[in-house]
Amino acid sequence: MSLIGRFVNLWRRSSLEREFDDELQFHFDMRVDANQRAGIPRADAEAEARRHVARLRAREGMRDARIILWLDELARDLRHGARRFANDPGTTALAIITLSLGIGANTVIFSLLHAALFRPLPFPDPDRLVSLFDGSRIQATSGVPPTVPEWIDVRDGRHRFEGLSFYDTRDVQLTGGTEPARAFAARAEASFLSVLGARTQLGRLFVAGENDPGRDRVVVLTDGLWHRTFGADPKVIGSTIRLNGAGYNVVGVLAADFAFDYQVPEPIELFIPFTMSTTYTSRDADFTSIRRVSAIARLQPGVRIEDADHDVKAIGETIAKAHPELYRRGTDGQDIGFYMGIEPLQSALTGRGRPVLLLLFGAVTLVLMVACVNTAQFLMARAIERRPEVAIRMALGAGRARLLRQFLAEALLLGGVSAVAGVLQATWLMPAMIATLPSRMTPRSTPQLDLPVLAFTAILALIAALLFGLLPAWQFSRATALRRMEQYAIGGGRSRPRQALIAFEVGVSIVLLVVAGLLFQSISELQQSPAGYSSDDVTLLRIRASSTGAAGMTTGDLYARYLDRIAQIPGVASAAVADGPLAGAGGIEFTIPGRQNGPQQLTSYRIVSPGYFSTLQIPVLDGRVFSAEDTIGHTPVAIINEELARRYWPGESPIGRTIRTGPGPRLATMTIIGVVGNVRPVLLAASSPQLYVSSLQQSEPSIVMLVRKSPGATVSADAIKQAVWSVVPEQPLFDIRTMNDLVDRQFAEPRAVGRLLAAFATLGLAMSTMGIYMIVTYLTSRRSKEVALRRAVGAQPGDVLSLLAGQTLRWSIGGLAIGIIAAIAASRALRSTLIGVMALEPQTVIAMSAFYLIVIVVAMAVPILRAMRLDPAVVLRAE
Amino acid sequence: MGENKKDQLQGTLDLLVLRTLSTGGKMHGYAITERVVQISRDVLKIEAGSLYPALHRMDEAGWVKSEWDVTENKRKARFYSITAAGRKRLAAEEAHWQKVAGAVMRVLRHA
Repeated sequence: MSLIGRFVNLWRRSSLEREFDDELQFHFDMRVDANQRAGIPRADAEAEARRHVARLRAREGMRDARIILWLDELARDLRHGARRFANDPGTTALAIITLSLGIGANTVIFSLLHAALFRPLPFPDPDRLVSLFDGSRIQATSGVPPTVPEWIDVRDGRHRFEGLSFYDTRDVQLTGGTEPARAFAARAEASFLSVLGARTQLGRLFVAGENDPGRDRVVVLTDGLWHRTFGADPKVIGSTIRLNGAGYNVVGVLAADFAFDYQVPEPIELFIPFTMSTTYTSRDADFTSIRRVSAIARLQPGVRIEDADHDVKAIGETIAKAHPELYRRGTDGQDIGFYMGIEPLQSALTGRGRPVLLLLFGAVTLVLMVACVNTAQFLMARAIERRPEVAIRMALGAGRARLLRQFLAEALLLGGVSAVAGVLQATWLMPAMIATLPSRMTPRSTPQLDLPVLAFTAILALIAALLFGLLPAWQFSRATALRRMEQYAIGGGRSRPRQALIAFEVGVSIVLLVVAGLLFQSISELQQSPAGYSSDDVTLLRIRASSTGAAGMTTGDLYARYLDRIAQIPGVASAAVADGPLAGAGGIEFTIPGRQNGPQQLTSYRIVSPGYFSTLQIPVLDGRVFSAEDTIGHTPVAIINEELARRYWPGESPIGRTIRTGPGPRLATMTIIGVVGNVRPVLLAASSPQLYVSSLQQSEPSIVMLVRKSPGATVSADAIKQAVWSVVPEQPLFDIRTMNDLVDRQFAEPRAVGRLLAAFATLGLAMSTMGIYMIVTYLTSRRSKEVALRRAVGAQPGDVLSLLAGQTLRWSIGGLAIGIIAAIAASRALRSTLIGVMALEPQTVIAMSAFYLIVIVVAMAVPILRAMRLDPAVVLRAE
Repeated sequence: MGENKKDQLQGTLDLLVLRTLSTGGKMHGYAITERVVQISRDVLKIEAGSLYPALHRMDEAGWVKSEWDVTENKRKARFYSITAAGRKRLAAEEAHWQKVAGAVMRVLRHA
């Protein structure tokens, strides 16, 4: 209370002082009365009372007791500082702008980071929610979602979970309304919503058993979809909606505040039960190892996550022992080190954007450091101007602590104003910045300037203020005596601390520049490297085999029928299906029978129809492509890429040789029938082993259809839809777009990160340039007389230039060199965290350094040339 | 408390003031000085320059509380009275003083 009370008293000083006076006056009057009563004459009585009361001393003591004095003095220092800043509005504004840009950028990136990584999930007791995953010690993979049989084994094993569940996601076509609409659905195990702790506003959640095959189909809607598509009509409960052609009974509408939008391509709009058919639950089925589901669990209250993890690991070991054929390498029987584990759901759901956000955070921290150093430069320059004043004050006996406090007060003032300006900038910049970033990196939960973020900004500003405030103060407190101050003023060349700061700014800025340059270099390298296919004139659409309407046909047959109809559309040159548009799933192993080199990994395993290669214009180099005869029952066949052929059959034809894939679901021994050109994988330039199998031999329900039109022809999306629907009405179709659009989109993330880094680098560049400009201007004005004298006795402009700029240039180049070394190290680290980042090319470094050097030289030349335009005679006469 | 000379003097002044207030009830500063002079038979004289800072300090510390009121002859004055915390403090100071005074007496007598 006392401290706060004294603090409050600071603001009611004048009334306090009045009270002191009244009290002392009363005492004085009483004393005078008493003296007079004792017979002392009035004048003497008053004199005695005055001595006795010792008003000055008393008042000082009372003030001391009531008010925090140092704070009072700090307030005075702040006022003093504010007046000084107001005297120099231009430079002050510049300093505040730089610093607030640094703080603002930091605030934005931190609020993204906070929303993405640290803010608790909006479910009850989020600390008890965990995610289940698979890992392999040999392949060094972790965080892979488990398969359904694995999840079942965990559920039925010994564990300390209150509940376990899982989900996966897919597009659905919502029909029966006014027009077919696409919606994003989660197929959830029945307890999923209750494990999360979700509540409904209407109806109910799923009940146990609704996952079983053959049960009535039910659906739970989110509040958003309910409003958007059903006009928030409460009668929707009990009604039937059609999803992908099948009827689903609406049983519930989730509470308005429920949202599950973490690490899913888009927010989930409706939940349907995951049908636990043997296709998914049996380890013998085709898709078991491919269909992986995001599994979650809720710990029992009071159970530690380490203990629960221990339980799950034990179950994982049992699984691996029970199914050696699936959990060991097929060829040499070596254990792949399969294990299962859990991690907090928070980090599982928010972890993927982390490296990029941390990278950006690192970059803005560097920008802020440059801003701090810049502000220190500014304050030091001002401090030097104030040297006579400070010297006088020190000579008059002002303590070093007193001076230090004054410097700090100014720094705090600058930091405080900049923090406020920075937060204002952040509110304004945030929406723009979020719009730039690809969705994978931005959290769905909207970042906002909430309390933790503001606290962060405040701490940041405080640290910044201390950093840039103490530097000039420290520099000053070393110069104790007046004599030393004078020496300082005459020499002019003793600017080493400031030069070192310049070197630091240059070093940090070049790191940012080079890293930003690296990202753009990588993008252009990727765009220029041969793709191996042509995406012009190709339209893509996604199709998922409908559960109705494909009766009696394999998915391969069904897609062949679609392709036949599409081929009849005028203007269509060719069409194909594949399990994905570009290079496909990696990580599947292959072996060449008879070779000793053990299992290798494919970077792409693609299931394609016969027309795939002609549609994407991938050249056939040897053998043939798939035909309509390569069906189930005939010899399993495969096509390999040039790189795979070159590695294993250099100088000979691989046609007719065998290749084996697996272990796992893609276990097959196939005859090689053709060799095709290398296709550039997503965000990788290196060619690597790729393998194609026939869609008529490998079943896959979810595919992409690729339609190439003849050059110059137009094929409407509607014509393609009608062709598909003429085979199966209501076949859901999604995401119709050009392939060029898709190809371009893979560069979205590196491009967005590159743009942000470039913006940060520009900030750093501008600040360091300003710092250089300031120091050279200062040195020039300090030595203007010396320069005039030298020129008067015949010094050449070059001599003058090197006299004034030589030192700064040397320090800058030193900073540049160290910065380049740091940038090379940073680019190495970046390559391992961000896909698509290429090796740093010397040209990038050279270009960036040369550019920076030019900027530095210009910043130095401007003030010097200006000084040299002055007539030496005039300068000298001013003496 | 009593670590250095200044503290010791301050402690003594606090002791005198608290003791006076503990028996005298609500008093203004002038009355406190008069009472101390009277009881100490003119030996202890408290100057206003010391008394008022001490009173305000003890007010902040919560040992005394103060309020503005009018005197018998209708003059406005600030009145002080002792609080519960002040009484506790007084007991401690008194004990300390007795101990020190006793010790000094013993030294004077036997050393």
